[in-house]
Amino acid sequence: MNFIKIVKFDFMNIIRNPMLLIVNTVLPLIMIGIMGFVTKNSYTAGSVSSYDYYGVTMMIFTALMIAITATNTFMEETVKRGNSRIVFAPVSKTEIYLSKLLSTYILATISYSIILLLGQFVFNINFGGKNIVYIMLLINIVSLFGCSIGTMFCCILKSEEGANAVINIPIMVFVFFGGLFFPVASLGKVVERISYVSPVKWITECAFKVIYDNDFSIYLLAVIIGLVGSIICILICQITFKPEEYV
Amino acid sequence: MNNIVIVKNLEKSYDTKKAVDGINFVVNKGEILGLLGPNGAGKSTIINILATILTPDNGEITILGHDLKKEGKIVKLGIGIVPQDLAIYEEITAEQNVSFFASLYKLKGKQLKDHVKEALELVGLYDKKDDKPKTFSGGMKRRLNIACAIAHSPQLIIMDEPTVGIDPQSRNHILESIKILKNRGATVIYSTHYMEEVEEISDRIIIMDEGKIIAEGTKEELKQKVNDEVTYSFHLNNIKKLNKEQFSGIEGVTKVNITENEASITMEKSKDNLNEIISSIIEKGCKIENMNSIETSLETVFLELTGKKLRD
Repeated sequence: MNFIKIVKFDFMNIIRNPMLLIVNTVLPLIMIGIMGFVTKNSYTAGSVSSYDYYGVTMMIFTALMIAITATNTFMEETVKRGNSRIVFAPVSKTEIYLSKLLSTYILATISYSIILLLGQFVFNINFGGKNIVYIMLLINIVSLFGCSIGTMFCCILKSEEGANAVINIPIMVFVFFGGLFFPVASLGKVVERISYVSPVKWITECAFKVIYDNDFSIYLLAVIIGLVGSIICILICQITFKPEEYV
Repeated sequence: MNNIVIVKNLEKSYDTKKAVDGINFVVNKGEILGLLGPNGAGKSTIINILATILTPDNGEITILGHDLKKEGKIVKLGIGIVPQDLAIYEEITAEQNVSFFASLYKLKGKQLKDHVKEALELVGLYDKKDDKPKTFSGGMKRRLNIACAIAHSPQLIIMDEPTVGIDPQSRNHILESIKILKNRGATVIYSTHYMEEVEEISDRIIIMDEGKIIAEGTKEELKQKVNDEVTYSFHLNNIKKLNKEQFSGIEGVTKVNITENEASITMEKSKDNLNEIISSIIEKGCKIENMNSIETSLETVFLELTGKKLRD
């Protein structure tokens, strides 16, 4: 039961931090708005508006960037001090890092689901219509992966600053090859081929297939890629997290 | 169960350095055991091992009748740790801090509320229970750090340098609180490098250096170890006329130290030749302005046993 108490407590700690709250609620909508507005002239031909494109890609981007919220929940200076006392309580080391991961994941699930619903039904962004639940699940898997990456880098590097500095590198590589800010195909066939190494590419492609073609052919694969990535990160946490180094 | 903690042949190394080198000790029920030693003596390593967050390389530890290796989780329920660094949340109230940590020890409802109140009262922070620690002074934060560790009424309380960097008033408050905890039946392991704190509160003292226990006993027993000597200190005029060699002929003199304006001379108690020393000083044309005999303190004991000062 201590695990649930700690998850609840960590969740409340995130909610108390206005910056984390803004980054995970208002900021995605602002980013969709800005990117959609800036590029709207490039999306006049087809049925996909710039807001539709960036609605999906910016949500995937935000879900990946939840990694930064995870590092904050785990090792941000003001909470790390208090968190370090949990090490002395009758709580296992797995419960310690998993509670940080799970509390961040719960925030992402609630927040991003609301944003998707608002986007679809208030701002008329195409998040799949009747298939929106599948897009929600997909974004959910990405945020689980993001939380796992953030927690993993905290366990490896033992500090929020270190984790945040390093975390941006893989995420930006994933984002670039995932075509979140512009389609990678425009950079030539070689880059497009390389882009399939990025799990984000599969997730993005899967999302657009579901939304516009009602095509679920790579849906399961995309979900498995996200889940396997998360499991690998959690296994690395289990190996590298040493409570004595947290104190 | 008279022995709350039993440690046998404990060893812990970091790379090639032995932080704890085959030590044995017990902590008796209801006592305050002072763990004294300079930085790097191995005190924090022992505390982290007893707190179950560090695994020893060798040795057996029994705490509250449970084998630490096999029943670590049960042991954790019965101990309270006051870590050296502040382990509190700055952005929630003092009461929320204590309540959250106490709730991890199976306390809930009215019982939890009562324990939280009791802990905050003990450290003198109950009237500040609704304030956030970020508004507290360093001493108040230290006291809250203690409240968070004791709210679940642990049988064994382990304190790692709980008074570092605080004002004398808060320090006194903390030391008084520890005495109250002892009177309520708690057993305390108190690690510090402040000699005067150990002298004030400890029933028994373990002196450590370089991972080993170099002396153990009550403060009287420890002082007895070096009490076969007496040291006299002289404040003198014309001290430059004095030299160490002039005392070498006096029977029983074991150590002479001459500084800019003070000479301290140590001799065997059984051969107290104070008259001869004074004569020797006066013969050299020095005028004695002041003289006293230095009491044996734990600092002296430590210096004698390790050859270095505690804060080296």
